[in-house]
Amino acid sequence: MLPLGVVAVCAVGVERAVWAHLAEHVLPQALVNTAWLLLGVGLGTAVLGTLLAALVALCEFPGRRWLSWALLLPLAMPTYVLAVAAVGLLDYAAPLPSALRALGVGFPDIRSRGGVILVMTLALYPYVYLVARPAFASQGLRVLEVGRALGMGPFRAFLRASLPLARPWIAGGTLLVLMETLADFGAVAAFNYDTLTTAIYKAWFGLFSLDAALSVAGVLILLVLVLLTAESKLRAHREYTALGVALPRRLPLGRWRWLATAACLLVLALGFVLPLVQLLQWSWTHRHDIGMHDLRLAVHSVSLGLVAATMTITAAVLLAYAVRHQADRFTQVCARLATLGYALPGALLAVGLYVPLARGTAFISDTWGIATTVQTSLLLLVLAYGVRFLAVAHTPLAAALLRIRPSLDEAARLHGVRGISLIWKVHLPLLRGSLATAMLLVFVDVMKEMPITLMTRPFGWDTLAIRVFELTQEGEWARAAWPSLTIVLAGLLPVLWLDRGIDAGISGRRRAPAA
Amino acid sequence: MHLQLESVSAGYAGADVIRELSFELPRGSIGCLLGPSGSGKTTALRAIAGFEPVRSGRILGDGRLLSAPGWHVPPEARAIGMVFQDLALLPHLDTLANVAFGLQRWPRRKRLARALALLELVGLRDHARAYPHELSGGQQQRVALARALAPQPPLLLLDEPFSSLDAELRERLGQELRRILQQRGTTALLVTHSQQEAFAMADVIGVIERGRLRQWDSAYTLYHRPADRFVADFVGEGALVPGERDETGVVRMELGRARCPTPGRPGAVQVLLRPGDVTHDEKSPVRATIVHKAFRGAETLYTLRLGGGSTVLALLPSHLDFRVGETVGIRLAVTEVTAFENG
Repeated sequence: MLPLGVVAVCAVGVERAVWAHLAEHVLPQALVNTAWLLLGVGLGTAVLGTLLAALVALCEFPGRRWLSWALLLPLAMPTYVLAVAAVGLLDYAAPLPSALRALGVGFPDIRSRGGVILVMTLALYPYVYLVARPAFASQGLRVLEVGRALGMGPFRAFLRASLPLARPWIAGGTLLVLMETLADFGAVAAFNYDTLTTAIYKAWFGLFSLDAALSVAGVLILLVLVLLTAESKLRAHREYTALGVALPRRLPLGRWRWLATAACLLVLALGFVLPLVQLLQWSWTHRHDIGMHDLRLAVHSVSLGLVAATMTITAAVLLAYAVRHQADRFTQVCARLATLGYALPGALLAVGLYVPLARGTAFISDTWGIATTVQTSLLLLVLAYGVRFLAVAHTPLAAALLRIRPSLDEAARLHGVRGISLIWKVHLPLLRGSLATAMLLVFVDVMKEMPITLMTRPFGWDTLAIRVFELTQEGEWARAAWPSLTIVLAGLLPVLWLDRGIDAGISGRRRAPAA
Repeated sequence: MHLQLESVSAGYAGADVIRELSFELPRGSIGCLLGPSGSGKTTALRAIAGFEPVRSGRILGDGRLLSAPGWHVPPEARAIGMVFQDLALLPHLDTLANVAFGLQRWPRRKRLARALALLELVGLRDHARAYPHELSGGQQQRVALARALAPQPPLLLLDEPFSSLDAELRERLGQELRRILQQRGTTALLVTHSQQEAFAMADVIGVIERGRLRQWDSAYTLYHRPADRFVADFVGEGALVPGERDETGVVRMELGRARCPTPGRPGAVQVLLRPGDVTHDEKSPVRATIVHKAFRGAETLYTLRLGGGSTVLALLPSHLDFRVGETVGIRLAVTEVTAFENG
């Protein structure tokens, strides 16, 4: 919450001159770009994610089972990695567009608004797909049958009945996409597409004006608040609707079945396979460049990930237990506020945390003569990660803790197991899976993280993500392949992990719906 | 709609769930498929609705071919309404919108008027703005019915329509439904595992077992002249007692003599005696011992053991309050019985 407040207060107090400069030169373009991006990516992911989810959940076509899983794979690819691959492959000077031009075929410029939207849609649609798929699956075919028994064709019945039923879930997924889009830094930077997040960066490190960065962040906050309000409204309405008995059957598609397979394969190819192959190829051609420096980057990424994951998990466990043992309104509001960080763009967090710490340390050294460099320390970095990813760790833990009924504690107590030993002997074994999930998720998120690391890392602490950013700024797409690939491989871990859990949860009907 | 099934087989993934199903349901009548769970009756209904393809045979509606191997009119083009077992009300729509759901192509005013008229018909006019989860089971049932009836389908299919309701409500709704259907001349086919439901609703009942239709007849015939032992056993209570059939079709048993109207070879047979076929008569030479009694209100159902060791059931006025262990005189109350050959 602190960074929010700081940004809000400081943004108002910024000098008029800075404001004037921003309002004239930076904000209009950044705002228009951000708005288009939100609109395009939101619409794109909602349509794509919903269609794929409905196809996979309601229809039968060749390859459905493994495609249902494989369509989650783009989740492993951070938007900026996909952007690197896309720009590298399709940029004006790249081989393919050049070859096409030689043949007299014009190729649309990938570094355009349409290009960013397309790439980010391909990278982010799994957020919608992930929630819409179980929503459709739990409805089953019965909803379609109701419509058809009343004289509607299958597609009409889908539009009229299935879609409205899944709407809260689709909206929830799309909202997540919008938050990610708003927070995105790496992809838009690779495309050189100025949004509010890159504007914060440029103000800070280009104009060297923290005040300017703060003001842009202030504007960004307004958008975040809008999204957050929408989200809290939606939360109340989400419930899986099982309409009677879900039939274990799907609609056979007849002649259209191969088309469905082809559509899914196309999305998978564009969103995952092609970029991955491209990255592999580039990595291979540049394999001799990999040296000690790169190894150090990987070590930095992994160690930062581990430290941040451990700290975040600890905080999340404390938070979850606090809510469990003191379920009053105050604690719950605190928990909700504490987990709001996921909605805050990293660029915003970076400024929001840096400024109070920097001013605080300046005050301390001025007053007592103790020189500290907290503002550029690892502490700040890890703290920022913690704020941003606390919700990621908290959600699975809170869900798991919720499943441990109070009666279990009471039963253990009757057998003389209490206090620490209760947690050790009863809770820990039951929570182990969720702890591992939470750890993995935070670890990977930190590995992928770009803007916070970029803006607040101590000197010399470059990570893989930073390397990708630097190389893309220099247009060295091919050389960015190696660090990108490493990040993707790490990102694959939770995707494999996650999907298993979701399918088990849906078929077993034991899991509480994810928050 | 005049519905015809001609040796229809259908099923999931290779295994036929219904086999060689044939029957005819005249326009305006109410038919029922009665069978234990897993007998294939729901599959039959889904095949008629067009949700299952047939593997052999033909389904015709008013002479139009609906289903045959390689021929499949899609469900939405069949003009057949259906009330699903789980009702499948759309939870995001209120009662009125649920009922109007099948009328999307109608002009708005006409659509609402029709939906309101149907709600009136099922007595839910006051609940037009309620959502499904705010209604009781019986009310939800009636909304589902109104929704299926709204487009005026010439044939209405009902899958276990009253399974979730208690006995009293089931009775009342059954009568209401019968009245509504007859009033509009709608042909209807329901499936159920409850014979009370079948008896209360249907003009003609088919007993189905393991995918085969055992008998397609009126309730009276099913009960008193079952085609085979399965039907005899599944429909109603009764007992089988040994007897001897002669060339003239007369059956002799310990309880006396009766004619058997269905043709058969002379020899040893098993005779079906319903509880109403046996009555109390102190003057009768046949004596039986009461081994069990079940009080049912107006009547009491007695289980009686005859001297020869066989057991019969008798439904007697409950004022005749015999004790278990007592020996009473009984005789046949009917002149015709159903007999099955031994084996």
